[in-house]
Amino acid sequence: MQMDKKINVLIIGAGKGGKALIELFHKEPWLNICGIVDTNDDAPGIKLAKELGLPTGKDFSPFLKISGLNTVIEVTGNPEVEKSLSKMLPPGVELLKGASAKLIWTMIEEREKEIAELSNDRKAILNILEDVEEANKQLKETQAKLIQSDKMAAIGQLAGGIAHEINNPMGVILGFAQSVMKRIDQNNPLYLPLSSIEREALRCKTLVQNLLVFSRSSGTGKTSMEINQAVEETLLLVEHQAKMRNVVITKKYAPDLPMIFANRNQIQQVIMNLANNALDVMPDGGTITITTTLTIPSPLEGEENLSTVALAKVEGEGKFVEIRVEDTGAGIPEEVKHKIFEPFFTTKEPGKGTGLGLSLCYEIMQKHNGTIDFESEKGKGTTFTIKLPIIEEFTEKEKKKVLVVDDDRAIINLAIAFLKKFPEKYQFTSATDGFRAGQAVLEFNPDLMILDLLLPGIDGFQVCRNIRSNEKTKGIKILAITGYDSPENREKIFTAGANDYLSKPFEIEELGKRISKLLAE
Amino acid sequence: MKKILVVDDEQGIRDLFKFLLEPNGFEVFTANDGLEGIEMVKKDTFDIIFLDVHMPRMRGPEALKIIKQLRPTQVVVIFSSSSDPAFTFENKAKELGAYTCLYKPVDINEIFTIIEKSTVYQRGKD
Repeated sequence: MQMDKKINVLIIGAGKGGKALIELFHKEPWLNICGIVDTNDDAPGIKLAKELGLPTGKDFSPFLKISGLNTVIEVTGNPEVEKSLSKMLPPGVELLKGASAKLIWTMIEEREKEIAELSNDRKAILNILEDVEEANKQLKETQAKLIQSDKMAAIGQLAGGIAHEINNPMGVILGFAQSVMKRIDQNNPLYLPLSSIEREALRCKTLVQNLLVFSRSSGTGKTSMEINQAVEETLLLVEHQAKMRNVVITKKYAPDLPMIFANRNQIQQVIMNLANNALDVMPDGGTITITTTLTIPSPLEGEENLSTVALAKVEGEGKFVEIRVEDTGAGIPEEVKHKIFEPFFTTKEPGKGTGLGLSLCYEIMQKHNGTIDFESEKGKGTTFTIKLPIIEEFTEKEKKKVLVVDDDRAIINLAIAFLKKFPEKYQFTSATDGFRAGQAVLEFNPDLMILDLLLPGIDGFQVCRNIRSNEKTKGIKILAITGYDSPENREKIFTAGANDYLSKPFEIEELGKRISKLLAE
Repeated sequence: MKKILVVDDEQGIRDLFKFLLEPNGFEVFTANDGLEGIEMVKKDTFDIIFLDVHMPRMRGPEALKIIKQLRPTQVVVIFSSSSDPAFTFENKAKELGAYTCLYKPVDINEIFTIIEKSTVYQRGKD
């Protein structure tokens, strides 16, 4: 661009307004700032001008003599300056002052607001993109699981079919071996081979039984059930054996445990398996202790106040029913600890264990969104712990009501995006101006209000004051949203009665933290 | 001499029952499927009938229904080829009139126990 086509501007007054003008103008190629004037060397605009290499000064007189000067913008707000300027202004040079300067000032404010909004929109879009990516990822995972589960179902059906088919010939093998054994004396040399056949056939029977657990289609037969009852029933079956082996069973059931959603049969199988394993490791007697309790995941360190948000980030958030099976056996050796959940891995002698038990337990716990784990110390014993998620019931009463007030839809959508992630915790509604906000407060009776202070009509500060002065509504928590973070603004906000504030632009996590914090107080 | 009827399409099972029970003073008759079994029930009386589920032409449960119609007090033990006691199966079987269920592969001691129990049961009924 040729020099003579540029518009040369002199800015008088380098306060916030002057600085803003510099920021605006120096980006425009058709504008040339030929000087910044302020009596104060430390004015923000002077500092910026020096950084940008623009000419500065304390007196405007020399600058007025610059040839080609088109416009002088006076933003000192000082009427004296205005007066002397008008006297000294060269002909043909335009002076923007007072009201015109105010216009520019307003334009600057609007521009900043636009930028802030765009920034928010951008953030909202980025958040949506993140959500879409996350959803995509989950879809892919679910797809993989479905394919796997399809395969498993197919394998399951196959396994079931084979199992049934095997039982018939196995019945014949077992039956004949036993029948012949009945007819001969124990000292008969044929007794050994026959008893071997009997033993191996029985082993096949157990194997088939275990295989059939896989063959039952996942998802059948899950019901709401009480865990203590199920454990007690299973133990009744074990107690007889326990007595014979000098094993004492100690039961510690927590009272009033919430119900779990599970397949009763499968859970009992897991308990049975663990109990039998415990029996097997104590051939000379010992104690099995069964404990049931309720566990709550602990909040992350240092975030006790943000329990809702932090807990939500814990995989499988919520409470669990925990069942511990503890034995006083020899313990699991270090070198095999990482193998024990592998299918067909067993520490028992050949013929004594199929090695399917723990891998089955693991499968079953996976299907129930639970966990199975163990602790073992050589010479002291082993404790297996299984955890199952409880059925959480959030009644309507426990949901917190949130009202989002902002004339900017993007902000409303941002807030709602957060609240929607926890449908069992939050109910929400929104309003786009002060008047509607007032109506919403009376009808919806929110626990928390997210309130933009720059509202059309009744402004946010007024809304805030109104809410605080009304007996019925004064307890509502208010999270104010503002475009400018400055000490004066903050004072204003808290004086009006807000509990907390957030300045734009903000991240969705930050919003979430503030919401949780305010509602927890 | 007690008369036992074994209805199963598996040769091995039929032979097994004969081998097991004949030396112990039982007369063992066999049928290859539900239809044959019913024919035999029509012509003769038995102390116990062992009935398999999966058979061609007519399955166990259907045969059970008809046998019970013909002989309401007949003791029928029904086999399940699943090795797990399944309450739904047992309930259904009892509903249809079975005395009890046996799960394959069967322990032969169980067979004797059931025969004994059912004899007492029969005596009680007569």
